[in-house]
Amino acid sequence: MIFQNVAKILAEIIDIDDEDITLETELTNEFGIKAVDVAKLVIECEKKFKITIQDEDVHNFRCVNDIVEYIERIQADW
Amino acid sequence: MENNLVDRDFEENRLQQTISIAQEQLSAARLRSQKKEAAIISLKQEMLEETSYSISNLWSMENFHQLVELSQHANPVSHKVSEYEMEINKILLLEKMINSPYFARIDFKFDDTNAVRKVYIGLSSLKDNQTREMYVYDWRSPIASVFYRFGTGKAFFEAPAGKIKGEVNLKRQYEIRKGKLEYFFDADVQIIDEFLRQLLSQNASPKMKTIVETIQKDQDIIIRDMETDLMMVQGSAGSGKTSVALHRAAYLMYQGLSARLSYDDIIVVSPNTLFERYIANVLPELGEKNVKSIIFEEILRMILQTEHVQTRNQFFEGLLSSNDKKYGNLLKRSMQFKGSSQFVEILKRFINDLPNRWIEFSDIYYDGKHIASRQLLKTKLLKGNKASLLSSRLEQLEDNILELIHERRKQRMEKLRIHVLEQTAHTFEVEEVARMLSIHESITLIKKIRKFTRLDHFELYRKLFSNKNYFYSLAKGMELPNGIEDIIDFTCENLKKDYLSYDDALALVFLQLKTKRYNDYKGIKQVVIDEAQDYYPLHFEILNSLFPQSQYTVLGDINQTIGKQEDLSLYDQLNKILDKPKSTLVTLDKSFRCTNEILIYSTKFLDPGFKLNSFSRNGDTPAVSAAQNKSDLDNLLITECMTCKERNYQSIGLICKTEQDAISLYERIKDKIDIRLIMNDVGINLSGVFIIPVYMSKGLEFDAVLICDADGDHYNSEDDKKLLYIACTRALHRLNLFYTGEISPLL
Repeated sequence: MIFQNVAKILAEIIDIDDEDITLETELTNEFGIKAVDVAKLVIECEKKFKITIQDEDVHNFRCVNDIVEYIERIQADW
Repeated sequence: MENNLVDRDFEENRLQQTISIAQEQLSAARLRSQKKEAAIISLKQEMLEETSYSISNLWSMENFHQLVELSQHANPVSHKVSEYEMEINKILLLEKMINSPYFARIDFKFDDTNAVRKVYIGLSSLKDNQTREMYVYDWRSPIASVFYRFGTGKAFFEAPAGKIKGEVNLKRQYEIRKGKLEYFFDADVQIIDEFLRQLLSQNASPKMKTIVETIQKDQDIIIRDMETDLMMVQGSAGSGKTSVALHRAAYLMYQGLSARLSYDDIIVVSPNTLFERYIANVLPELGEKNVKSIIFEEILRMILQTEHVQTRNQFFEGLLSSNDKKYGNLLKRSMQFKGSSQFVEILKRFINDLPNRWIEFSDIYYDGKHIASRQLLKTKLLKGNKASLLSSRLEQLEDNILELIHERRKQRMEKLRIHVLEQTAHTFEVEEVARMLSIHESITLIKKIRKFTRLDHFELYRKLFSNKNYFYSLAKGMELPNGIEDIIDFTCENLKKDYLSYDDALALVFLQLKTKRYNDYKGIKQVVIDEAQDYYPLHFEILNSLFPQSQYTVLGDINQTIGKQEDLSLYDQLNKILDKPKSTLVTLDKSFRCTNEILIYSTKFLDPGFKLNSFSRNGDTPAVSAAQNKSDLDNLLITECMTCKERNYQSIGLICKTEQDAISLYERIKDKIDIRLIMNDVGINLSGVFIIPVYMSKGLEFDAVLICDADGDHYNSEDDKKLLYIACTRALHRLNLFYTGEISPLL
């Protein structure tokens, strides 16, 4: 469920089909994802899941799976 | 020994009966499994035909009743599938039974009825379905436990109804292979060592029986002990030490099974992967699961999280094959120093000193404000709870700093938004761009913080060796070995390579374990270590850090060292390091696996005054043969192999000093004879002709051994003497040595 939501958000940001996004999709320039897009993703995820993502943790987000796991971990701590 | 004809007949008949019953049950089981398989297929078919729903539709409320209908079909299918699996398991078990249905028998006389029951014990039970007679009892069943726990005489076992008392009149053991009764014998004590069993079956004298039982009792004390926290065993070559190690692991597992511990609680530290395969072949005998076995290198690779670590075999190869005496000597001294308790102490002092001297704190600024000062951070760390690991304390520090940053985040974001607004015209992107800036600066900041909150063990280790004066200051009060400066320089050079030397890897692992928590092995309760003489104090410190709560069984032979000399003080040392409440040292000094002649010959290579206790069988005297040149040597070797084959020896080992030598010999003769070169990971059943370097042959045994390079160039030093001892004692029945050039002065 988390993944679907994150994929949807990301798809909207970079304007592609959310079916083209997988857990392995890398959050880098190669995939057409710019730094400001990552920032947008962070902001939207915080809104959608009602959490706070610490900025210094963002450098660990190499691919979509990393964000999904991060969110899962926060939710598990509740 | 009641191996008389009447008994023999009786046992043979009994065996045939048992096997027939097993075969009957096997055919029936095969038939049933075929039927079940057919039933499953037809059920699945039915399910397909009658319930053609798309799965995704089933989860909505309207389709709920269809889901129920589907499950009506699915349940019988899954039920049938698990029944089928059970049949398959039964079939495998029955096939095993037909091969070897049982291995022991006790005659138990019940106290209350005076009836005597013949209890045959095997790996699983076998009941005659018509007469209801138990033909074979499972070794784990209560009545079977009497075999393990008692000798002849008074005994009891715990049944669901209560304690059943009685007497054991007979204890008999069988060797049954491929449905044939090879031999059997009666013994008060369970004889688990195959050699001892053969000895008994060949030589039935009361004297032999006493000796064998004594050896077995000595072994049993070690195998069955559950009280001692540290059991140390000094076992000379041929004393069955390795067999004891394996059986102890199996016994602990058996105990674990009855105490409902999982097999995951036991770990065997093997010297090499060949040994591991050996274990894997022996232990499954005892049940379905295997005991976890590991080589020390795996521990190193796992903790350092890299594959670029020199293995111990590579270290040995470097040590033994080096032509440059000075270099070989340096390698040896470096290992010896780094493995020593002295160096462990230096490392401990180094770790204590890290917060003082080697962690470079820096001032931390955020949002233009000075939020953490170097001085205060350092003081905080130094004041922290010394009992907790350094990494944890540093993590705590990091969390503290981050907290301060998070508190100021909101303010910072405000400032960034204003800044962005001033810079850009796109007002709708302000939030994203501001956030992007915040993320960027946070990443830079966290990297700066982690420069001192995350330990770079490799860098620290390198620094230790780059500062000679500091190094010496840490060694205050200790006497450092001669040539320590060479060792330090040598280490610095090695640290520049793209792989870690074995001795440096050990030190790094120690550093890591002493500063960071490592939880993977927390649950281990029993550790069995063989060939302990090859390990240094540093190894044991590492094991102690990894398995602090465990009981240990440590086996070794101080005479079988490679590249070092050891005496009994080895056991004192490791006793001190592991520091367990109850420890004991047992000696296995009766050699019986090799022939008398081989044992006597091997003692040439030990220090005078070593008492040999052999009463083994007799065999050929080992012979030393000279060859004119390499091709002459090859011919001699091949001829000897042929002779061995004619004598029906299953495993023949050609032992060379180094892997290099082994490879070149292999290349020369591989086309002339069917032979395998043993390098690290080869599938082993040890039947055939093999070439192997000495240091890899430890703990292994061959029916016949040929030592291929017994010349002065190869074997001339004190350390080499030990290598010859190891090589010679790998032979069970036949030993021959060959050389070209000058014969070794040691022979």
